[in-house]
Amino acid sequence: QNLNINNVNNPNNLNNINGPAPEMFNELYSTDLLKDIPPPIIDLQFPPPPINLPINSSITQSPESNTSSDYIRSTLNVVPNSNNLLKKSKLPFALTIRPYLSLTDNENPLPIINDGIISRCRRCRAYINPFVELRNDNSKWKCNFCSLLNELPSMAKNDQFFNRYELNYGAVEFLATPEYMVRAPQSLNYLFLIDVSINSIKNGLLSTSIRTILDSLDRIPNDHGRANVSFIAVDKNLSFFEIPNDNDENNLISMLVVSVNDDDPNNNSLDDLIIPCADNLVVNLKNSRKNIEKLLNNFTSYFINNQSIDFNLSTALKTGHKLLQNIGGKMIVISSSLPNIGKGKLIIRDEKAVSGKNKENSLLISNNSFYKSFAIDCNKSQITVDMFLTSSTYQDVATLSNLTKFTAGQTHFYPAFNSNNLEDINKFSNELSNHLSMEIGLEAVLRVRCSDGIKGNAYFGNFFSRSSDLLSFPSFPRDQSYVVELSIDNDIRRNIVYFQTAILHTSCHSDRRIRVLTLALPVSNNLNNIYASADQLSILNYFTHVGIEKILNNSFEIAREYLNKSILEILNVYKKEIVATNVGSSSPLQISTNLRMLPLLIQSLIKNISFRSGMVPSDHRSNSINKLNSLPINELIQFIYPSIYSLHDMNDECGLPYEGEDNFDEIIPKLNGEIILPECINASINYLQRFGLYLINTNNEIFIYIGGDAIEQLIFDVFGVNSINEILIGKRELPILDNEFNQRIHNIINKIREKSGSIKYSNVYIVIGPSNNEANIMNSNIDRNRDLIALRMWCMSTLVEDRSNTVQGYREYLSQLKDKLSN
Amino acid sequence: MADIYEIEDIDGVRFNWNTFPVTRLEAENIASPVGCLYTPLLTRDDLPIANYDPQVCRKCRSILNVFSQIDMNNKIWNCPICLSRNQLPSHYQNISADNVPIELIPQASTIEYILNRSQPPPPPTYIYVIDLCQDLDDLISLKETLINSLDLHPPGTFIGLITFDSVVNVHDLSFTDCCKKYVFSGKRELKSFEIQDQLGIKGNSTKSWNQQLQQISTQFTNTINKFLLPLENPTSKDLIINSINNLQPSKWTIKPGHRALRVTGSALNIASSLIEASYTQCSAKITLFAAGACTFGPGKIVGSELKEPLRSHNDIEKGSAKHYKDAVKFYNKLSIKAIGSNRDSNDKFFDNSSTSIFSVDIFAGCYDQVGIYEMKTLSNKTGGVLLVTDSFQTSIFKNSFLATFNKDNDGYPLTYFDGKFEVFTSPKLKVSGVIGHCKSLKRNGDNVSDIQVGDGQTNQWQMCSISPKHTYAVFFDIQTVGSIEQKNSFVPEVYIQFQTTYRHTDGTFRTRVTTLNRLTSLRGELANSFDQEAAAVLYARLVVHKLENGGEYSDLLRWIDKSLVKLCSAYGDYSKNDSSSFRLSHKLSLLPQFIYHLRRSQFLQVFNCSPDETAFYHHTLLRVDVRDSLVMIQPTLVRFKADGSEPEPVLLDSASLTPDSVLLLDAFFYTVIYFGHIAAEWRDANYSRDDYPGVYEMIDGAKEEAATLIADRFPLPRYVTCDEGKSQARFLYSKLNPSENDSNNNIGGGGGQMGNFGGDSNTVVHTEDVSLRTFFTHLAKLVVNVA
Ligand SMILES: [Zn+2]
Ligand SMILES: [Zn+2]
Repeated sequence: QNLNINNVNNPNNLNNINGPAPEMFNELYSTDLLKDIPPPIIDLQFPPPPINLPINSSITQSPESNTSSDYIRSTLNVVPNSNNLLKKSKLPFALTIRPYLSLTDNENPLPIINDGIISRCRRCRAYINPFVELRNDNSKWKCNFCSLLNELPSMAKNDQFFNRYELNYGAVEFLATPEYMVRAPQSLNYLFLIDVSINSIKNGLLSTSIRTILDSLDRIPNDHGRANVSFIAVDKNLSFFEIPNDNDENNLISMLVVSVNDDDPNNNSLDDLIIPCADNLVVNLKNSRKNIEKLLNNFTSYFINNQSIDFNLSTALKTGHKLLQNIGGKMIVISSSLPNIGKGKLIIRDEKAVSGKNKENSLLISNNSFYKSFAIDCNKSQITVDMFLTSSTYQDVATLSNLTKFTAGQTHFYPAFNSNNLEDINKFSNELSNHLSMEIGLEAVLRVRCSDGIKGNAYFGNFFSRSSDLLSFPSFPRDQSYVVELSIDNDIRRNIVYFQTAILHTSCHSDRRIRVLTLALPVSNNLNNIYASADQLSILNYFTHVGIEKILNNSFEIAREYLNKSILEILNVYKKEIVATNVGSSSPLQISTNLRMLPLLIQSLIKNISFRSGMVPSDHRSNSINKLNSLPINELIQFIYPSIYSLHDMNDECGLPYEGEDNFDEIIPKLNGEIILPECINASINYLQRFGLYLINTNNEIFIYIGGDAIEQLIFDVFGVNSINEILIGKRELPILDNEFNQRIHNIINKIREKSGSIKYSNVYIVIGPSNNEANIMNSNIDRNRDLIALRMWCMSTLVEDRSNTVQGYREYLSQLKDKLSN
Repeated sequence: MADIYEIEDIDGVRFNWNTFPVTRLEAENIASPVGCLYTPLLTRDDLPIANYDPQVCRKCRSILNVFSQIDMNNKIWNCPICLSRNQLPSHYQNISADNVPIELIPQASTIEYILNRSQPPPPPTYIYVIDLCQDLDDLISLKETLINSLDLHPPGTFIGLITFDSVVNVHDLSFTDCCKKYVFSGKRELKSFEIQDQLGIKGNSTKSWNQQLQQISTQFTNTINKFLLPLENPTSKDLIINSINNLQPSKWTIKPGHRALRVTGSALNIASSLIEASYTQCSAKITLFAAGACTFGPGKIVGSELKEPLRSHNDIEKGSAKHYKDAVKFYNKLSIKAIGSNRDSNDKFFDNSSTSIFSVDIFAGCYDQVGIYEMKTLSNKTGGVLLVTDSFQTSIFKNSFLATFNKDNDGYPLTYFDGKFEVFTSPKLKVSGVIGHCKSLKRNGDNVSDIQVGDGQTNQWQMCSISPKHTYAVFFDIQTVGSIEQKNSFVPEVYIQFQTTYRHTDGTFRTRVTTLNRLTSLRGELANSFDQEAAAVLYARLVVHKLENGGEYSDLLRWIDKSLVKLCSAYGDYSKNDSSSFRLSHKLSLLPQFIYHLRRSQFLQVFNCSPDETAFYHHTLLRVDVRDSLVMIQPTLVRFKADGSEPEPVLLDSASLTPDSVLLLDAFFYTVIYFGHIAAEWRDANYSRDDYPGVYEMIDGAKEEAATLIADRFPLPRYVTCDEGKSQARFLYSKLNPSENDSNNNIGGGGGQMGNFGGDSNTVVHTEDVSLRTFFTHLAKLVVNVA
């Protein structure tokens, strides 16, 4: 059943440069989908089909000449040689770019070229890379993008020349020389806009966030001591804090309360904003550290009696913008309230009126033009907005998300946050703290260069397009990814094409850097080759982005139709063009093995909270859309199709550290000391035993699911109670017990939580599944029953292979697809 | 009748004419309205004080007084004002000729009642409004002075603190964890409720102070305990001191070629709204400490660019001072807010639910102008103080500011609140107006004259702030008759009662009552009742008032000259057309001299001063009594000699400058000790004190005398010591009658500098360099020709 993923370069056929050698292509295998049930979900963890390049395709023949799929995944690892072929394939052509794999440089560092030699093509400005050719006795290099001959910098022509990183690694980082700097490297500036209205005080957001910021001060990247912070407390008024330098003679912190009558429609000018004092509002974290700590220690108490129910976010944002407009930075909004006054005033939209109707998507579209236009202003001023939203009532995530979307920020949503619940504090604090620790880049631009004939068509993700091919990021986050839709304008005559992604940015180490990711892909005129090297996860990622656009621009119905039609077309092409021998209605539903998860993923995506029909609070939908829009592929897939581990019968090694040598040969590499996870099982109730114990990781939360008929010993070992009725359900940590099994489960939860490229901290929800004797479980506690049923329904909704109220199960789906193909 | 000086000591009143004209001709002859200068709260050690409420005439509300006829048998008193009969109340039943209540003893023509009220008045509020755009040294000095002042306030005082530069900060004084301020942009003219709303104190105008002081609510923000702290509470006082101590000079960078951005007008407006929303019946004082001109927002007097010069008198006159009108309009509106009555109820600039009033003191500590000229109504209409000094480091500032807290013998500050002044007159006499630091309450009454002099068309005025130093010019309109035959129908005497109600700093309501009677020319002789000093000062007040209210300088000169000529024609001795025969009686003889000096004083010669200086001079003149006013009009010069002789007053004349003596000039705003060049040589020779005691006595004598003059003067004068011929000596020279010019002048020629003095030409003479003798000669000529 396994796909041949180890089809490495064939060394016997190196010199065939006139035409593509068959060995450059992966072999095509077909799978009969209906016979392949349950779907082999281990495939979801496979790397993409390998990229097979002739061994001499790079100067140094370094094995790392090509950028790894961790950074860039193409939907097609073999590129069609013409637009016709591409169209014919019905496969999308796009790159998913994830420039950073981890939150800090400590993990996954790239080789850095720091001698100031940055050689670029004079014509197309491409950076020198492992795929250029040397000419004229190695004194010139020929650009692999535009074929221009460029001088090699003289300094580079020494013995070590072939050892240079940029000729050996597809992914490198250049330390930029002064000509790449418009101004001195920007410092890292964090401006916190903190909701201090009564909502935020009552649910404990204020105290939690202030405590978290205080505890995270050391995590803010500050190795050069240049990071600055600023605080604005927001309710009806804005309260600024003038924080003196610790060494100042006048060591007094001032709180400056400002209100702006922003409701006046004639009052359009930003001039009316008040910067309440001349200095010490944005202060150096190191030099004013004691006073910052003093402020944060007192901050909550300043507002303890605040009765304001108003939240003037727009004025706060505009004033924040004014504070940062010359230095750039991040505005981090922490709020429990719907902005109800000012230019950015939002109203509670009537969700019931449109839910399930054609116009339902209107709830996901901005309800106040302020936010988008302001976000674009921010982008111009190198300001990113991040939001941490925690309201228990409607907060209009859709409208507010415009702030983060166009400024390369992110919206984090914690519905009904309450600090009475320790789990809420854990999640919020961990994520905010991780967010602050992220070594973001600043004043960044991203550009993708392609070989002649290929062009970037559309871009997806959180940024602002400054021009057709230049994406602007006031700050560059490390936990997001981006999609570039490509088009083939001219027939490709070469057998390899190149893509180069360059991110010019200021690192938070106060230097200017260019991260360059160069990808080479083989070209083919054969549809089979294209299909054999198509990457189903990358394809799904692309479909997700287009689907979201269709939700926002058209309707949910059209978006879902689009997804169904896309998979249908692919199956159709496969049936008609590739396995054309058997075209009758009885023919099997086939697809290349490397794409065999695609129908399941498409169907799961339609069941995702972002796409599914039925009553879904629009804030939750928006939040989910935000995630789909920016999650790196692996997380995205998990968010669509959860990872489910069967715990009660897991192998003895699972949940314990791997004791063997590091092993990269396995599909999922095993590293010494790392906790071994059980194999995933399919997301269907059919695979959940009534006596079993399961962990469901949805990328958002972790369910610990105990079957209703679990034996007492299991219940006791895991939960420390004697009967199923005594298990405390809902959002809570699993108790820590003094037995190995409980410990192993904790190890697994911790392993799931430690995700290097993400700030996320998943809460654990404990759920009890149905029992043969349900009445026994449903004891007299009505509240518990109601909670349990709601929780169980939620948990069950993650079992995406099962039929839901509106969508059939996977098998039925395939049958339906087959029927449609036959007609 | 008692001597005018004695009357002044008892009743605080000086009339220009102590007998009132009856016929139209007489009224015409006296050539200016009958009036008096009255100091209602004059400090008197022997002031009769009644610890009960006065008996009020049921018809006219005048108060039982020494001129009331008492019918002991029927227990009836006759009101001399309205002539109606009033029953004496039961507790007056025991009175007899030997047992009269204090208000009826002869010395009680002026008496003070301490009123019985169930509730004492609310304590006062002081808000310090501080300009932060100043040098650190100046600010340090100012802070020190402010902190010193905290020991001087009346009992129960609440203190508020507002600072400003390009923004306005209202200090939340209650906040102990850090320095909390509410910040306003100052760009726009804010409505009262907008300000109150932002401060969270909307609606507190109807809450009493003690309710707010005692009930701490989390639901509502009290103004008291947050923005206004009780100074008596030691913790609060520490908080206030801390807040003042923590003030720092503005850190905003001033663009090159620019002035600091100051939002003085907005700061005052915000302070005023804080007062509006303070507590019921609040009586407050805003004290502004300005270190420069308002350059931004409402009340701006000059743009921030230095290339735009500050407006001069010329600019204002020509209408080219581009911010002038708007600024004046704004500050006038603010002064209406201060007085609390007669507001436009549709204008949301005011909080019409408020019962607060306030006065404004303005202290300028700056070499340049700060806009006092535009702001002056704020002080002039509310009884506040204006003071222009070079910096807050000067002793003039420090002493003068602290002197506003001067105390009476019982330790209560002499600056009182919420004064109301009412004039009662007997038949045939009406009141035409007041010139002084008060504002009409626009209350029409039977005795209100159609002729308006000063602030008129009312018989009630308000003084948001009043002190024993405040002197008001009150003008009357006597209903004259046309012919001698009708004279007999006229009243032989008139009665006037002044009632001044105010809040004493000891926490009582009081009413000061002065009742006067004066004969009419039916029974008395006009010329002999003339008080030329009072007349000169009233002239000065009239002229200044007219100048301040848009009067043309040239018209005023003409008016005053005509008036003088008329008066001299009517009451002088002369043969027609013989100017050498012209004589004036001792009752009138000094008047021309006073007028001469008035004409060349800074009060009229405004073009030699900046508008701010003018405003300051005018302000001071409009407050002080006759004696101080005269010093301003005609400075005194005293000569000290080394020969052991007593110091002697000498003529304010260049002829008095003898080289071997020391001269002491008192020009009120400054005192000059002037050493003739020989006296200076003696001083510098360091003679032994034993050998030359006279030299030392001369010098010390002058210095001691100067120190005495300065001692209780407000504002503290500038003190200049100079030698003959040195530049500082200009302070003296400018005040002298240039008699040395006499010989050079072609007196009779009609040309020269005298030009067309008093003639029918429209041009007006600048008397600056004209000698007194020339002036007098021309006066004589006009007098003898006119008649
Ligand atoms: Zn090129
Ligand atoms: Zn009466």
